[in-house]
Amino acid sequence: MTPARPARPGRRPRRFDRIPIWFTGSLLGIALLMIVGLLGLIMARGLGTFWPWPLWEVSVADGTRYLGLVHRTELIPQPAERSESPARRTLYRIGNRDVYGLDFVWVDDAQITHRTRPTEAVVLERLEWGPFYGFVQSVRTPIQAVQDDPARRWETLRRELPPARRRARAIRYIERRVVGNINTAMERHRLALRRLELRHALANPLGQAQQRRHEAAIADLNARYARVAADLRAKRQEDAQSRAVFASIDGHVIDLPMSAIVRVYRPNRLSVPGRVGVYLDRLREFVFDPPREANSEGGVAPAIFGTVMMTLLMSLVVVPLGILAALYLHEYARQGWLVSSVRIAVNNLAGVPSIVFGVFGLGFFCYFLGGTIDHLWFPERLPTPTFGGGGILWASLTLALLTVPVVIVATEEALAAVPNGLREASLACGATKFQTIWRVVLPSAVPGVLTGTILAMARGAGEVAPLMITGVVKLAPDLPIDQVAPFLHLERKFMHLGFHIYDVGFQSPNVEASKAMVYMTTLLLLGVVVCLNLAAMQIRGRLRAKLGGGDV
Amino acid sequence: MTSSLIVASPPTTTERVRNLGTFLFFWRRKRRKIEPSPSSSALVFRRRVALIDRIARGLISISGIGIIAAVLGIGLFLLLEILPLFAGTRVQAGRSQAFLSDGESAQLVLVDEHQEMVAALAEEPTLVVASLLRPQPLEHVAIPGLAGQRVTSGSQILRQSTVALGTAQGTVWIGTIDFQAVFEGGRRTMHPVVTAETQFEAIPGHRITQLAYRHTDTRALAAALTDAGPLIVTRIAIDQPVVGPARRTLDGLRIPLEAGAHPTTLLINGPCTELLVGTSEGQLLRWEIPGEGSPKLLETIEVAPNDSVTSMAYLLGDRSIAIGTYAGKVATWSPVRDEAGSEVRLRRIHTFPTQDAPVRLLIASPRDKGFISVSRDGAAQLHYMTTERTLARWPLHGEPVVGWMAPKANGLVLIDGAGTLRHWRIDNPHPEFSWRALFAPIWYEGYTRPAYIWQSTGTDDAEPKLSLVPLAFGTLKGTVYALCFAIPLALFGALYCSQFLDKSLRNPIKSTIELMAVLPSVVLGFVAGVVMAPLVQQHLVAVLAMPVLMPLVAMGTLGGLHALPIPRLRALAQRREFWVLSAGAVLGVGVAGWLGPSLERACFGGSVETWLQAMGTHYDQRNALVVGWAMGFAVIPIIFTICEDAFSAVPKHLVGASLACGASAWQTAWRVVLPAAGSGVFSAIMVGFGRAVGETMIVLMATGNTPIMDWTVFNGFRALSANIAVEIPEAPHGDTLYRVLFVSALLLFGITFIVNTAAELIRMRLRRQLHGL
Repeated sequence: MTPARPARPGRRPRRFDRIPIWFTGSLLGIALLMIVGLLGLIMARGLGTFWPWPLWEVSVADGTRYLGLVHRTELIPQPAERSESPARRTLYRIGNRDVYGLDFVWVDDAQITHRTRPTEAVVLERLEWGPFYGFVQSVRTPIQAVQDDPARRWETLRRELPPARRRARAIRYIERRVVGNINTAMERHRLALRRLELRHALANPLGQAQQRRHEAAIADLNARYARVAADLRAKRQEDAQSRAVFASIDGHVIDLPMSAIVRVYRPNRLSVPGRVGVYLDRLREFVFDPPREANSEGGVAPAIFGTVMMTLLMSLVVVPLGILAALYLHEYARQGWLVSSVRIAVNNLAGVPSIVFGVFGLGFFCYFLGGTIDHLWFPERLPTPTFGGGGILWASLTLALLTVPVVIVATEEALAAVPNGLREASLACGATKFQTIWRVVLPSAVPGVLTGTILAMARGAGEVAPLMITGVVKLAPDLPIDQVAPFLHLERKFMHLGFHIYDVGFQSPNVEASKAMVYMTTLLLLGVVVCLNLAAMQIRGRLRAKLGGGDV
Repeated sequence: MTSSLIVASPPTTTERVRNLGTFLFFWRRKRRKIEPSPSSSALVFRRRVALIDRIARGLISISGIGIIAAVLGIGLFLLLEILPLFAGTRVQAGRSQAFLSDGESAQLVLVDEHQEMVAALAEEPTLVVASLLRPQPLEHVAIPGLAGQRVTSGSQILRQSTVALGTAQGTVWIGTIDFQAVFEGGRRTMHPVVTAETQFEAIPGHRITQLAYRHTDTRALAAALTDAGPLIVTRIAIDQPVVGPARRTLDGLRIPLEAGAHPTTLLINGPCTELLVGTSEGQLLRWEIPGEGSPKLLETIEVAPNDSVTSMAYLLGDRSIAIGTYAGKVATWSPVRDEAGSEVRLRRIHTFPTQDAPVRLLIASPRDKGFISVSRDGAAQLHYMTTERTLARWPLHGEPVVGWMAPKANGLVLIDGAGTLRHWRIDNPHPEFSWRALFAPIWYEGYTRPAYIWQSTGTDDAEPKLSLVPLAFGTLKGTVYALCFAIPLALFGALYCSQFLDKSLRNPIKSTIELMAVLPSVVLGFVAGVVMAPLVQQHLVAVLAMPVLMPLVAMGTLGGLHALPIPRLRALAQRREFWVLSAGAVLGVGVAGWLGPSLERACFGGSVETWLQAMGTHYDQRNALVVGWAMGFAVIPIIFTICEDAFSAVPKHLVGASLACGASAWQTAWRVVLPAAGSGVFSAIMVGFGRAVGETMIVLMATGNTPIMDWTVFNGFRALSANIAVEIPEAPHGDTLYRVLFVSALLLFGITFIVNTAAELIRMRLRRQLHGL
């Protein structure tokens, strides 16, 4: 776009005319840099989270030795007067929270006398207390105890881990499923009793018979629970006999049952494929397993599930509603100032802060609708709210309200893009208005509607503020879908990836240690949202191309 | 719809049905049944189609209107939720009944928390108990230990059941009068329980006319005023052994009043260290009563010049004192630390409408900072101290003698001179609310001057401070810094993108910038609060230098390449201008990081934080700088997109004409494109403003959420939106705080809705304008 240069005397040289343009260009470059840098930062930090980095043994001048992972290094801040070259220090993650109390230690690089990577050092991930960095000392099973040879210790440990995991799974199954079922059944009978009481049915013989039946059932369940508990105790005892003993670098010893080991590997001996294997295994755990240790370890499966389910529920509501409203606005309503202003208002609702929708959801859905439902249908559970508190249903409905303008606007755009000639042709052929809409207009508008839906889903998946007050919790004990009738529990609170980021990144007692997890969660959420948006852009682009640059 | 339909001769009914009516298959099935007469079937079919069309029209219209109404109803619901705030106070008269034979000598009256039973005491040392619900015979409970004496004064303590009685013989009786709930067969009845704790001779032989009593765990103080005699204070040291009854050591003191001072009312403060004496000369004397040694006069305050103090009461929390005078004036006085020193003095901080007659009684509310003033001619007013509002006034019918509020502050019982017991139920759900409380400076207890404070979690003693001003200020601060950061980047970026950028790059760059808009704000908040905030703190000078250095270095790089006498580099600079500029910006970051420490040493003496401290600014790690940066991500893409659209929509012939007249590319962009798209730019900024105002997660995570009012960029703030997110899960449903949060939500709703609508209207105007060009 360089203009022609008429050589006119008396004007300032044209060369400097480019400078403001360069200035604006550099600002655009900075904006681009911001987004690319942010995405790059999250990618770099997130993707490196699960890589098994080497374990360093560090000896410091004062005689202490540490075994840990390099977390980060920085320049030591120092006063201005000192002019020598700034020293660096390194933050080591030394784990072993149960032994040391802290996970991290700063070491001045200048103080380090010796730094090696011991080949036998192991990273132990366990159910409690976070990672342990140390060495295998001995492995005990009911039939043998291996102490002498490091290679044999390692072999035995590797061999014994799968059966231990199976035992742990069996125990967990009993704890969660069997005992859980008993508890659910007992709770149901207890509520039935309470309902009888509320209906004043205990006075009549029918009610008394029912009461006796429920009480008998509860007694039966209690007996069953006692049997299960005995079985569980036996299983736990058997499990506790297989143990592994680990020692930290400074000689602290921990002794734990093998079933408490999540993963153990020797990072300094791993080959590249072995590292990839560990990486993939941790990635699998992250995506498919529930969280451990106050959400700072383990996986985010319930959060993924909650996010997906909430988004789907929301789409289920928002798509038909949005399409109906758009159809009305564009096809049926008489176009005039009223409809124009309604259109502007709906459009502007998309710009209303999400927290306002959250407040509305809390006041209207949770307290008003939910409270009414509780009083009508679940009086026996009061004052514990059933629908009267936050839940996945209310959160989805709130987000549906939040995103319905997106769908309305997108659908209307798509409807407007359908050439009027098509409509007129259909009408001229004798089709009624509804037939025209159903068979001619809507099929052409599908890509636009789809775009709107995907945009709405992307917006819904990334929103956190309204969810925080309408039903998201940091740790939900039960998923909204499970094996207990009625299988779909819309009143339950749920976990959400976005809230997980907020909670673990900000409320976690051990922010530094859980940061890595947050990056990974962020990456996941970002991936979902960006993919959805890219898909929407793609569809919209095709739509535009198809309609030949119509007014979409 | 196939074209054959139009071209071919009119189709048979069967064909038409196949073509048109397949959307409901049962139709066809039904139609086949009436195959024999095609003409009638066509009619039936046509009717059916018309019917379906009508039904569909109705359904779509109804649901469409319904959905739109529901969506727009959000604002209405928010409004409905805040309406109860304005419902006001309702006072409803309950039963009044003849109660005491001699009303003038009534000394105290008590009511239980369910407002079922009321108990009163006159000269006779027996408690008279009546029901407020149903007429039933009066019950009499003797006060143990006072047989044969006449009760001449009484003292009650707010929210406590402890009662002190003074007699005509100079005895002070201390004990508790309480109501106990007894459940009989599912029915609850309240019963008075009287327990004596101790009694002593305060002024033997003198008639005690005024009595004040307070106690703590270790000491108690009783002040007694006699007919003509002295003012006597009894210090009681309480020694409570682990087991067994408490041992009390008594010690009587005479308060040396000035000659001519006529005490009328007495008050003792919560910790039992001060005695307040109101006089008929309109003075308030503050006496310090130490545990040992003689009392000391702390200050003499002219609370009512040329007037006399007739009634005093501590309000809930034992800090503020309500004072009523003979002229009917009502005011509250609070201890205020004076501006300079550490001296604490009582100051009048709130005044209330004057009563027509002398103030007879001041009754503090046991739940909030409210109190009821009752005048001698029987007019009652319910005031709320903090907001200086009079919530209700109502006539009493009779001269009041004693009165007390129900423990839940929802009722008042009074005994008038004729001995009639009167009862009112008070429905006062939101006493602390007023527009002034939300938006005007309020003088709170313990503050040196009126201030805007948000501190919603009031304890029993501290009033909730519900000023929305600091929150609105925080929102505005965050928005302003975000816009300061975002507008130049987005506006000039869009200008460059639409006017000077290579056409093949335009769409990818635009999409990438728009991708910013989809970043979930929780991600931005996390990166800002956890990653950037420590980084910025560490490299503050470098960060502050970046806005200048980055464009400079970028332009310098490009200029340098142009100036170099190497043709390939010049060609690169010409053809890949944007990429060179971006690379230059990256270089700028490096330069800033490299220069930062030296700059810090040169300009700020080594540590910018220490320097800021010296300048009187405290550096918060999570501050407006970080928030502005993070909110830039949310705002830049919005402004950028709208601006870019507006610039691109400027007709090409305008640009062409300008260039043809000899203007340079920049002159054209600056003088032609920018003004032509001016209203688009304005509307873009407004939409960006709307987005920044409502942003929640970023401000929640990247500010310290401290509700301070300070424009400094290195401080945090608390925004309306983040405040809602933090507080509404804890706010009890229907509470004042809950509704005030709804007010702030409505405020956000209103601001964004209006701003967005205005922006939309401006954009429409722009479209029309450009269309006309």
